[in-house]
Formats: sequence, structure tokens, C-alpha cells
Amino acid sequence: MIFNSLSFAVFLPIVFVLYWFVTKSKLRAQNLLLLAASYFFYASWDWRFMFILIGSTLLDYFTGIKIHNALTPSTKKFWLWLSVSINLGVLGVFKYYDFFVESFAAGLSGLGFNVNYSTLNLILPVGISFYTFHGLSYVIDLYRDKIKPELNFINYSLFVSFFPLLVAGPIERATHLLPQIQKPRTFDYARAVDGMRQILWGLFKKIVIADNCAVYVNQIFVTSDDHSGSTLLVAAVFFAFQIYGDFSGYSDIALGTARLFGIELLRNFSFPYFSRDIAEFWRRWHISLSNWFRDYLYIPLGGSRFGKWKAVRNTLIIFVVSGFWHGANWTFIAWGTFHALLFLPLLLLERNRVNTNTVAENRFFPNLKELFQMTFTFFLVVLGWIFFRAKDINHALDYLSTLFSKSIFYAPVYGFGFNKSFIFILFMLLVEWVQREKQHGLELSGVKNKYVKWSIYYALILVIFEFGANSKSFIYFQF
Amino acid sequence: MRKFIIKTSFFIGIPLILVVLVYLLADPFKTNKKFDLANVNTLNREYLSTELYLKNEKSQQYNSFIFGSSKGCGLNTYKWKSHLPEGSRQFLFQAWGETITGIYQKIKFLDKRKVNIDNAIILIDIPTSFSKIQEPTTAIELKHYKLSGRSKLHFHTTLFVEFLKPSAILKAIGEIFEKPENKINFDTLSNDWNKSSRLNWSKIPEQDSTLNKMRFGKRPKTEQQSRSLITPEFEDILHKIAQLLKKHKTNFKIIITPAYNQIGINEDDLALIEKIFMKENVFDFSGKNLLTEDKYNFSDINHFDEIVGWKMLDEIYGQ
Repeated sequence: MIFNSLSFAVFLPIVFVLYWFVTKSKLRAQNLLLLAASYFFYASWDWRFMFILIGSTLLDYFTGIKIHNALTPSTKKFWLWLSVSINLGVLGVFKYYDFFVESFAAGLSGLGFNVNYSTLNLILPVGISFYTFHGLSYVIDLYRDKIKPELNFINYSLFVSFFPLLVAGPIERATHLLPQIQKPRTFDYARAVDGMRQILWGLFKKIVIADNCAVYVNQIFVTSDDHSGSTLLVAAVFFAFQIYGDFSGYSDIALGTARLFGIELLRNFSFPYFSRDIAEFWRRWHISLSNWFRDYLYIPLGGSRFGKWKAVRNTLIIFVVSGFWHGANWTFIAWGTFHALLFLPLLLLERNRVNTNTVAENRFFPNLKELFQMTFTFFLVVLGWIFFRAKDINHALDYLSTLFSKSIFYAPVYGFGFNKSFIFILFMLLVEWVQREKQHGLELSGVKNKYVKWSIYYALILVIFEFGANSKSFIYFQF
Repeated sequence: MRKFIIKTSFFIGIPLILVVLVYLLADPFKTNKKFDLANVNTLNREYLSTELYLKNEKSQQYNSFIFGSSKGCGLNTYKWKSHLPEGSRQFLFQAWGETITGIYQKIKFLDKRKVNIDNAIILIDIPTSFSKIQEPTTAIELKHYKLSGRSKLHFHTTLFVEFLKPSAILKAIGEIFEKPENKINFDTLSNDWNKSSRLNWSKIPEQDSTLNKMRFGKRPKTEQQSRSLITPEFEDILHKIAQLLKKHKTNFKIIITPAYNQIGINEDDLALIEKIFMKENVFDFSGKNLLTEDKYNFSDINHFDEIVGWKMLDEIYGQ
């Protein structure tokens, strides 16, 4: 069941009505209902994956208690590492086993050794990368004594499995989400209305922007050998908007849905394509993942506390691992490494925390410097996305070599819905530019007139239904 | 909470009720009311073809079928009949944008209903026949529930969601108030496309650039071959079709259809199709040839004219 489907449109109101009218704000009933709904939601993908989800939940629930009750530091550490190794082991087997085996065999073959190997060809359980990291954040925070263990199994299970964030995040923290689960939620009209707006904006970004861009992108990437550098550049730019519309759209729908149930999730995107440098980009793109790696990998490795070169090493590790988290392909590692190489100069020059305010703060128009910075940063990000989208490293390199050839000056190929996508991208950029200091593109707290608001809602709905494309998946589900 | 529920219900509910009413009254896909199936032409052509077949199944006892996309409109089953044994009863079992998967579903459907498939023509269009449709979401892609095995609820809800485009709703509202022209589109027995429904190109001056651009768009100057389209999944489906045809001892012909753009089938794909179905049963009319050279052999860039269909039938039956 995906967010932009008829089945979800039926599922959500039913759960909403049961939640607020049947449970009557009783904590246990609320959490039990949400947990049942979450398991139903997940099982609708593939019921077999439920075993892994429940297994992961049980593992971290019990090891969490053991960590808290451990009498000695070594025992505490044992339970932590047990949880971490099993969680990452399961993730590794499903996601990375075939990659490692094939890469190892390819490496040996390159040295002249022919190896017979077999792969597992396992289907990747949807959301495994996300809920595994939820669980890990819980046990690590327990180990660090930041939180107390959640003894109520229903509450803990809901923390891991809450359906809006189950399949594609945001990656929540126990310190942020568990306290909300531990208290009964009361209905807040303004929050619910704004949640609906956020859902609507998310649907627009996914169905109109992402799915229409996908038509052009898929056609060009599949036949990239046949196109000019200019066409490949356009396709790469469109992919940048496809992945943004897809992923941030999903996040908006997830956050908006959670707010209907009185729960606030972590913000995951903060208008990243208005970033003035790569460091700012990474403070605005997939924020929950960046922060997770910062808190649970970068800081434990030493962060920047032990000199510049250790900071460089740790930064490189974070970006490469972050790339690898996205998928078992060298292209994702290349993507992560590319971003590391863009970030490191800023770190070394101590310019990675220069642009921390909102661009063109208190002004409508950016100045020339800001415009240049945003454009240049966006261009670098687009180049990185080519690795992300390409089917392998050779494809990415061929793509780039054609892009930077003299054919970049030829007229690009239009068609495959180019015009439609282009107009809506401009529209989205304009709206998000105007709203860049708000939480999401459709936060209309400043608009008081009810008829104006309703006109905006209806106009967006009409656009979604009339111009939306038909893709039925989200890119980040594959991670 | 009450305020939220009331406002949301009002906001979503009233337009939804109106749209449902329009859908029921206009019946844009002709699935809700009884229609003269020959008289309607909608995007869900497959549904209408299947319903017409089911309506006439017992009385006609069809045993000869043409499977394929809208290109089948260029073949006339009555012309085909002249090449078939006496007593053959033919049906154009088509769907717009038909894929090889759809063709297999139809043959399997007929097989399950214990229909004798004595004669068959399978039209393969490059690249349409080898399009992969993960989950049909449009009226063109959606298969009749008796062919797909999906539920009736899934069928009708998919069509309703497809209808939820403002332009489609406005058009449907127009049709409620305006009686559509009573035009016979399809033969009531064979499901052939009625020639009188065609646009008469001879009456349109060539100076009418808009229409003629539609008909005679640019085509590649040099001969081109399609990239390979037959994946292992499609190869499996082709084998299954071959098995069913063998089971029925069908006298069949596979036609790789001619296209205005003159793009030929990939040679590896052709070799595979010939291997599965035997070379003598496969006729490749794609690419550059006498039929495709003459642009007037095409009624538009996607469809060949009936004269082409006759010539193909004469050639494949050795006349």
C-alpha cells in the first residue's frame, strides 16, 4: 500500500476515525490501534517481511532492557554489540551479500582466478534500512544513558513500526518519538489541518513533479548513448527534481499523516536546492539520515575532536557509508565519495558552517552572489545524481563524458513530457522559494481568507488529478 | 474534532459525490449500462471486445481469431475468411495498445472456455507488443476481469480513478447533456472496425497541415532497427502461446506489423520468434519495404490502411 494509492486513501480515514472516536484518547488503545494499523500497512507489501520486522523489534526490545539492567560496562557493551551485529547482519545479508560476493568474484577474476559463486537473490524487505536504524538508535541511546528502556512492548513496537515512517523514514530517534508515544494524544485542529496541507503538497511533489520527470528521465537514461550532452544534462536536472519530488514528497506525506494522529516527526527536508554550498545541502537533504550518521558514526569515530586529518578520515567514512546505505552498487559508493570530495575542502578551510541562515533572509530576491552559489551548488549536486541514477559505474562515466563533450551545445531533445515537467518544476520552485522559511510548501498560516485557502487546495487537487503521471512506487523504497 | 470532520467531509465529500453521480450517469467506459457494443468506442477497447465476444460466443461459435492492437483495424476478418476453410467463424479480439501478455491472456481465456482455436493471426507491433505493464492504471492498459483474474471491484475502481481527471469529468458532463452521434463503429459479429468510421483522408486537402502533420509526421531517413525488446519474461510468454496453439493444432500466422516510421524488428528478436513459432509461420512486414514506403498506405502514423491488410493476407496465404 503506497501513499498515492486508492487503498491508502481508504485506509487512512478508517484508522483516523477509529483512532479519535473509538480509542477516545486512551493511551493503550491509541497505541494498540496504531500498531495494528502499522502491521497491516506493512503486511500489505508482503506479509513474509513481517517476521523480520517483528524479529528486529523483539531483538532491540530485549537487548534494550538487558543494556539498561547490565551490572558491568562489559556486559552492557556485550548486549549493545549483540544488537548492533544482529541488526546489521540481517541488513547485510538481505542487502549486501550478493554485492560482496559478486564484487569479490569480479576482483579475483581480474587477478586471473575464476571462482564459482552463488548468490542468494533475496528480495529486499521494504523499509529494512529505515527500521533497522530506528532500532539501532534506540539501543545506542540506551547504552549512552540518554534514555530509559521502554518496557511496554506495544509502545516500543509502535516506535519501530509507526506506519507513516516505516518504509522510507524519516529515521526517528527514541528521544524524539518515544516520549510522544508514551503520552496520550489529544486532537489539535490547527495541527491536523496543517497536516492535511502537508499531505497535499507531498502528493503534488510526488505525482506531478516526480512522476512526470520520471517519464523523461527514464527514456533518456535508458538510451543515453543516443543523446547529446545537452539532453543528458537536462535529464540529469530532471532526475534531481524527480528524486527530490519523490523523496521529499513522501516525507511530507509521512509527516502530515503523523500529525493527523497528533504525532510530530522529525523534519527530513528543508528546501535543499536553495543551498549555497554542499555543507548546507547536507544540512537540508535527508536530514534524519545525515544526523543519524553524525551522532552514531561520526562522533563515535572521534568527529573533528582529534585534529584535521582524523576529521577528514571520519568525514570520508561517513559519506562513503551513507552512499553505501542507499544500495549495493558501486554507483552509490561513488556518489557518496563524490560528495565527500566536495565537502572536504569546506571542512579543511573551516567554511562548512558559513551558510547556516536562510538564503536571502528577509528579502524576496537573492543577490547575485547567492544566485551564483545556489546555481553552482545545484549543478554539483546534479553531477552527483548521475552516479545515483546510472545502472553502473561505466554507464555513469559514459554519461558524464558525453555530457562534457561539445554536444552539450546542441539543442536538447524535448518530448516525453518535457514541457509539462518544466512548467511544474518552475511552479514548485517558486512556491518553495516563497515558503523557504516555513516548514513545508503549503504552510498557509499567513493566509486568513478561507476562500483563498480552499481555492488553493482545489487548484492543487485539480492539477494532481489532471496532470499527475502514473508511477506507483517511490524511489527510496528500494533502500 | 467535530469541526475538522465536518469541514473535511464537506471539502472532499461534496465534490466526490458529484463526480460519482457524473460517472454513473455518463458511464464513460460503457461498463455500467447495457449498450449496443458495436456502437461505442472508448479507451477500454479490450473490455468491449471481450463483452462482444461473450455476448456472441454461443450463437457464433467462433473458431478463428485475430489478436493484436488497434492495428488489427487494418485487417478485415471477412477478407481473412476467404483464405480460411469453409465454415470458419472469425472474430477480431483486439485491445488498444495490446501487448504480448494481453494476447496470451486471451488465448488462455479461450482455451479455458474450451473454444476451438482453429485459425489465428497474431499481430506483433514494435515496440508496443513488448511493453511491460507492472500494474495497469489506465483504461487502455486495464484488462477485462475475466481475462486478468482480478476482481470486478479492482476493475471498476481502476476505471473510476482513471476518470478522475477534470478534463474527463467535463467531457462526461457534456455527454450527459448532448446525445453523442449514433455511429456504428464495429461490426456486431466480427468486431471489425467499420470503414465508414474512418476519417476520409482523400477529402482532406494536403494543404491542411495540422491534420496531415498528424498523419504524415517525420520519419527517419535511414533504415533503423529496433533495439532488442524480448526479455526472458516475454520469451516465456511466447513459449506459452506456442504451446497453446500447438495444443489446439491451430493454423496460425505471426505478423510483424508494418509501421509508418519504418523501424524494423530487431534481428535477434525476429530470430527468436521464428525459432519459437517456426519460420514459415512468421511474416515480417516491419522496416523499409514496398508497403511502408508509400505513406498513403497509412491512415495515420500508427495504423496501416485496409489495403495493406489485404496485401498482407494475400502474401501470407500465398495468393
